[in-house]
Amino acid sequence: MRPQLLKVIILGDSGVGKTSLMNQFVNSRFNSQYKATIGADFLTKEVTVDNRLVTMQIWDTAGQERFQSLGVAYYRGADCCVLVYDVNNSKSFENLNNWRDEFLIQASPHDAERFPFVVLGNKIDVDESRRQVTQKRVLAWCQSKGNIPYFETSAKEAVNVQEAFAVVARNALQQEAEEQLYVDYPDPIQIDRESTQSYGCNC
Amino acid sequence: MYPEKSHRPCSSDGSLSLSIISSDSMVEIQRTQSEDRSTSVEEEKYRLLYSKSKVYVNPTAYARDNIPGFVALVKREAVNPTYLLAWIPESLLSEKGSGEWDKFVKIEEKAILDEEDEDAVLIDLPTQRPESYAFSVPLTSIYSLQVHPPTLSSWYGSIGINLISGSTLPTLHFHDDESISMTLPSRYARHNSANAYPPSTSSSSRPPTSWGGEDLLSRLRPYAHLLRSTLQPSLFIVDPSKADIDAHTTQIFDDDAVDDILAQSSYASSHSPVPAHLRPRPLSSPNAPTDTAPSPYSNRSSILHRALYPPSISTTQSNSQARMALLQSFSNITRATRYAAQNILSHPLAKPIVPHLPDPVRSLVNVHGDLEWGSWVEKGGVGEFESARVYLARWARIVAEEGDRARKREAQAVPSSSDLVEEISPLGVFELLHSTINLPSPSASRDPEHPVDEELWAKWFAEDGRPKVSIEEMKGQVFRRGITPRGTLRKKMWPFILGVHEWDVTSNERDKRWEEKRNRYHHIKDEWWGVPEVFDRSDILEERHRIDVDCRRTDRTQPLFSTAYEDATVDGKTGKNDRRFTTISPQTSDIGSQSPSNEHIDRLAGILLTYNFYDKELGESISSPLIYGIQREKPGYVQGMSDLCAPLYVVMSSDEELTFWCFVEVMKRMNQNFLRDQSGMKKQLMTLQELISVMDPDLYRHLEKTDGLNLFFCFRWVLIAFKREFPFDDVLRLWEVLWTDYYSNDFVLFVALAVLESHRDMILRYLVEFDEILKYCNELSMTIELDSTLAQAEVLFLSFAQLVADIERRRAEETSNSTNGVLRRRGTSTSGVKASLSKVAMPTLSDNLRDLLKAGR
Repeated sequence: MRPQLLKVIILGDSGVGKTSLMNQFVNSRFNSQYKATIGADFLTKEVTVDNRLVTMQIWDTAGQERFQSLGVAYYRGADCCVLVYDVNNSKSFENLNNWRDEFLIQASPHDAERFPFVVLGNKIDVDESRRQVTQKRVLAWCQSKGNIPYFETSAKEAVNVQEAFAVVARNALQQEAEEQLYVDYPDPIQIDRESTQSYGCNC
Repeated sequence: MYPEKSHRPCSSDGSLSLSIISSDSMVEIQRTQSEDRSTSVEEEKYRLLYSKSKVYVNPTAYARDNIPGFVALVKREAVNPTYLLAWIPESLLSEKGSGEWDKFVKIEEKAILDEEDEDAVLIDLPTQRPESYAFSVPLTSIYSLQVHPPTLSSWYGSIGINLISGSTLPTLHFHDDESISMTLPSRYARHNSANAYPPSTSSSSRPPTSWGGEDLLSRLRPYAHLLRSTLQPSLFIVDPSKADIDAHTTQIFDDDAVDDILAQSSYASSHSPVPAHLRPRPLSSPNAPTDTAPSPYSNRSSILHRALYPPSISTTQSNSQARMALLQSFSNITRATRYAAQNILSHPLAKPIVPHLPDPVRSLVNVHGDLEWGSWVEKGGVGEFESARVYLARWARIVAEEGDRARKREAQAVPSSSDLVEEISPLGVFELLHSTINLPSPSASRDPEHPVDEELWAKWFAEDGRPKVSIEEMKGQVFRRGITPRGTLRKKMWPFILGVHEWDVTSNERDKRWEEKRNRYHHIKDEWWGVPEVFDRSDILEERHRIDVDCRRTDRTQPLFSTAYEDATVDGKTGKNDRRFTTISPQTSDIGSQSPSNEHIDRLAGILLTYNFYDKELGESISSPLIYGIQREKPGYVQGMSDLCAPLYVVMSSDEELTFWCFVEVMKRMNQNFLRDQSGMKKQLMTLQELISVMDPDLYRHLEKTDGLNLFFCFRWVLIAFKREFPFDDVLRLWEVLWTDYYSNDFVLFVALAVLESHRDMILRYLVEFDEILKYCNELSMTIELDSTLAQAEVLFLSFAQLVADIERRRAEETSNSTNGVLRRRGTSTSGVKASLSKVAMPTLSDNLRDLLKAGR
């Protein structure tokens, strides 16, 4: 049987390390000279989540915001969105808000409030003195957006990358299961009404 | 289970006896001492006859697990010598020290195999180490070889080895691009192969052996009879028995039957001109002559050929009858070959092969009834993109697809006037027009073998520097021939092609105007250079950061950009002005995961930043004629611009002013690609989409079904004019052709169409989802052959122009005959073929499409 496909989108400013993170996760490789991503590409990796074999399809997109108008073709059907910033670049952190909003608009998931995001603060291998974003600040933001899981990573030194994507996979799988409900019952209002009725009968 | 190979003794001729223990994927071969008195173990000598490096074993699906090694042919010296095929991982060989390693390298570099060579290279017999996948087996123990030459979708060819015992050895993958013997130019007189990657299989530049596996086969041939199965062209039986020969020589079709069909049919010159090197063609053995006699059909006995030219059909018979007969025989073939394929899989002989099959294919074993090839694809899913798709490409393409398509083509190729109506829809307008009007088939005019050189260039100018030829003439020459990469001719010519230098002036005049431009550049640059209040302004800081991160990762393999600063202490405090105003942004100095910069990267970034200011100047003072109705925006730096600028910098040999002004001209052509709302890109992709719809309706419909009409898989191609799809030197050749605007200002779209057309069969057959097409197209990068693509693009353009002219003509005819027009509009035409033909087939030509015919700026 074909393993379940989980679609994951990586977003963030240009140069924060999206391609590097994807390659580190899928191929355990790092190269400091990945070219700027033009358009979009993806890699797939099979992983086991809670004893289930799933295929993660990880989409890497261009980081300059003007290319996001193409996003709708790529974001549709996403099961999880990974927001990446560079801990040494505060602007890239401040832009996470935009990335998140833009994703929700274009992907238009059924339940935007509960759609799973994961935030990665990348490039923690860089000297601490250059750090521009404190953990406290990030955690506060993540909390305000519905307790988004947060990891500090280094794609270069393979720190926390597998761990982060394990959470991505788990949350994506959960999301996929919930989306499935909508597919089976296309009209959510219908479900509510029916369940209300059935409760009524039981009482 | 397996047919006896009684005609030859099995491993009883030497002191080597084998016991083979097979576990899942590895085979352990134990060598035990034999009783044979003629040779004692101490005296055993193993002579290395042939070796080839960078042959990989892939224990898992992950590239990181691949193990590099040497494949070797070893002769055990004895009265009756034994020949062994061995594979030794590099790690095992290096354990033995450099001496042993050098022997393998030495033999590999040797061109000619000479058994009696005095400097025979003796080696230790490669040890059997199942855990490292190493093996060495006598040729006599090998039953068959499963040979897969490199294809477009699978860069590396492979050979699987099936032993008589029924077990299999790890499949060997030939990474020819890494291997000395295949990359050494001295070994073969290979022309034009320096840039060929993966090794080109085009017939024009085919080296004596096209890939490592074929080389190996040719080395084995002196020691074993290799019979190629006609049932499954990738299977070679080693020293076949009579039963083997019978089983594997049934004629289903000749190897070249498919090519004959292609050459015969409209395909060869049709609207989807797939270049010869991309057409499916089974591996042909290097010894066998591949060229056939001019009229080969008479002496062909295969079913396919008989079907092509059934003896009963004479030219006097009515067309439709002939076609029916053809259709009938093709459908028979298709069915017959499918069963044949299935029979191979179910046949006991195939048992050793089965473990090598990807799951979806394996599941066919023992399946009966009609096979749905499409369902294999679906079973493969995304995860098995490689295996299932590629396997299908090899089998299904030759067996089913060609039969089907040939049938369809034959049906189209003989339109009699009474059949036209029913055949309009599958044909598409384009071919319809061709088949009915007898337009001459356009052909390509390019001659890249003879580029414009310094000598010719000098001849074009009078003594005062005024040119003797027109600029159109010059551009036409560049379009057809390109510019020699030798010397610095490109540096001289590009500014003319791009319009940086004026053409029809004397050199004095030209120099004067250039001096003005030089000064103007520095004037613009001085807006930020040395002006801290601008340079450190927050919006400029952000811009500098964007430019910097991209320049550091653009063309870093080019010598100018490949080195790091010698002085690593780059910070503002060094006091020197040129360091103070380097565009390196404070966030990403030479620390951390960004690659270090150097002075050239820095200047490149400076040029891009200056362009920002130039562009602003443009926006404020001049209303641009480029965009109508849209308020001109300042694009600023957008990703992709560094890709466009870096090659200019390299060709202009780091001349800052020349690079800048060339970039300005390039951006005049391309700045619509970089607009904030992406309207320029959307327009280009829309035009390409319309172009596909008139030129290849089948492909258009397929893209429609797969949600691919947005053509986002062409986005990168168009945005930066294929910069990422070709090796650097090819990019230069492509760009100078594009800049000539010889046929069309948007010739890049015809190049894109040419690439799609080359792969349309794969796309139509196997790629059923948008993401699959995207992946496939992204992975075409660095596999596209430039000159055949440009030739195709030219043919496509000329065909398109013919089509437009023809439509216009018909329109004119139509309007002059108003009665017919009324009837057609009501859909009650009774005048038969012609009316319904125009009704169904006449496409509307949008303004976008008409604009494609504009050439010259």
